[in-house]
Amino acid sequence: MANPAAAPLSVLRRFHHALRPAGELLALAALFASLATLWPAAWRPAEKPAPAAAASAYSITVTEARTAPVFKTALWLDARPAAAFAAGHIPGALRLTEAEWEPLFLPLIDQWTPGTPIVVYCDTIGCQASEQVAARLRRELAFEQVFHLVGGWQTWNQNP
Amino acid sequence: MNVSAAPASGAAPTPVARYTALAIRLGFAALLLTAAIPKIIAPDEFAAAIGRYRLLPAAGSAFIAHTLPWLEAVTALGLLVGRRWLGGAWLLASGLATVFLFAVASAWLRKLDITCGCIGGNSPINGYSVLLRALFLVLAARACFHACASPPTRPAEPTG
Repeated sequence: MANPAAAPLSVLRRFHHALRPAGELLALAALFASLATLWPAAWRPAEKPAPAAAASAYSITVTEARTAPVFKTALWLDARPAAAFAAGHIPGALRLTEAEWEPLFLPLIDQWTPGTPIVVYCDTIGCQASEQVAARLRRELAFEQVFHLVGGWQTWNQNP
Repeated sequence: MNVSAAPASGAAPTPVARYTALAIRLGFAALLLTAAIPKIIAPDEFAAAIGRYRLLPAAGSAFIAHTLPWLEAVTALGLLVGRRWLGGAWLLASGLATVFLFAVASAWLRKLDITCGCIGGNSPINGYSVLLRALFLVLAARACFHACASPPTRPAEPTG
């Protein structure tokens, strides 16, 4: 007669053979990861300056921008060239780019109420301009709530 | 379909089943290696991609970014080498597929408009990407179930 306790036991026994090799592979992965971490920084290829934590902490998605109450009053900044801005932009957005910082920054300060969050966007998922403008604004305004929009204008348009 | 070509019920696998299993095994190994190499080269970018899922704190994202790609690479190596590591490699592949399915499905359900950070980097997350990862999990789990059934191969003992 079949033992009812034997079924789960047989499943465990089935995987028992794989546990040891899986452990060996895990140990090998841990060894490689440790060696890669200990690899002297001087030997590594040049890395991008943007740290991961900073990038994720200041990025917001279109859904968050549209739904979170904190962004209802946000000041929107367009970091794209003038032609792209003229072709279409988020309603109420002002332009600010690294290349045209001097002429565009002061009018922006007139429009901004201190303490109001700022969201910067550029064209699409691969663009870096919004991250760079947002980082510079955080430094120059000494204000942390300056975010960049993941996916930019293109994602905003695709998610009305 | 017996994707490991291991005889599940004592019957010898057909040549078609053997070649299908081999194709799936090599396909998985290639997929894991293709996914792992860019992440190993640029762990900071991968950490930023993990951060955008908003599942882990920054330190957790950095830890995963420095370890998970090596686990993918070593699992691929186990699948390629086969022999006594095959069951363990399929077990790890199933674990990885579960983690990927959970992460992508959670981002999709939360309507995060982020890129996957997987193979190809900038692919968007949608229902199709969730379905694809579910398929990976089913294939890996099925292969694991069969590969784990056979004990690690040992040299044949002399009979005389």
